[in-house]
Amino acid sequence: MVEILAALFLLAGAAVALVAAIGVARLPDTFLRMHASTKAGTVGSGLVLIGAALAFGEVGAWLRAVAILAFLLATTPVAASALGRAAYVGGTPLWKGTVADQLAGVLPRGAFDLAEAERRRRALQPEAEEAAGGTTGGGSRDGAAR
Amino acid sequence: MTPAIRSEPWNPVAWLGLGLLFLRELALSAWDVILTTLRPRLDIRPAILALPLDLRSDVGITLLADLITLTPGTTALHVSEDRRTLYLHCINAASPEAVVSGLKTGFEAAVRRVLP
Repeated sequence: MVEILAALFLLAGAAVALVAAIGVARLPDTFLRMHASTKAGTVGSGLVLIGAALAFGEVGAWLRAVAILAFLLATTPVAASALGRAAYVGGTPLWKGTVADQLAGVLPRGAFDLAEAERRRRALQPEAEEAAGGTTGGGSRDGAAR
Repeated sequence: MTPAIRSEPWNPVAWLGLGLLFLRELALSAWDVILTTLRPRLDIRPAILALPLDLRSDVGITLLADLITLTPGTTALHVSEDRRTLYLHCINAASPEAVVSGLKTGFEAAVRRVLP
């Protein structure tokens, strides 16, 4: 009975991590992708840890699972928030479907030019130009996702 | 503008209420983000919103920002220098006012019951 419950928790956690990975691959901008990855960090690892503690069943395993969860809950949001703020200040483009940016004018925002980045990359690696076949990698993604 | 709430850092019931609210929000919003991710058509209206703060202490604002970031679908990005506004990115803000008032009456009110 406990084995089945533990297996269900482990499977659910793995499924959440899989969906989060799909989200990271599929969602169109940095901030949206981060929503998918925070879900893996909290819900996914939480379910897997509870499943592991159930499977072992000892007090020590539960203590360890709770301690790991406590550290994850204390540290992941700080990292996510710092990453998001750095991405914004660095000028990472917001997806074109974004309806409001009330942070505009509050924080300085750098310029992040995909075409310029691509040109610099090609200048560094001239042989990669033929392999890429002249397609622009960054610009077409946004249109395809909608 | 919002009614005064007395903060009681030593009240275990208030902390328990905050914990239960967090678990409920975590489950609801995780499910929401999972559905959003798997839906063939990407039907989202992301936005960066400003949340006016009634919390005054740094530790209270930190706890609120942590809870907002831990919940899938919202990420705290910045707190203004005067500690009056918290900026967050929201995955689906079809109605920005509803998102902000939901956070104020939900998470912020619960945090204000434990920290100033």
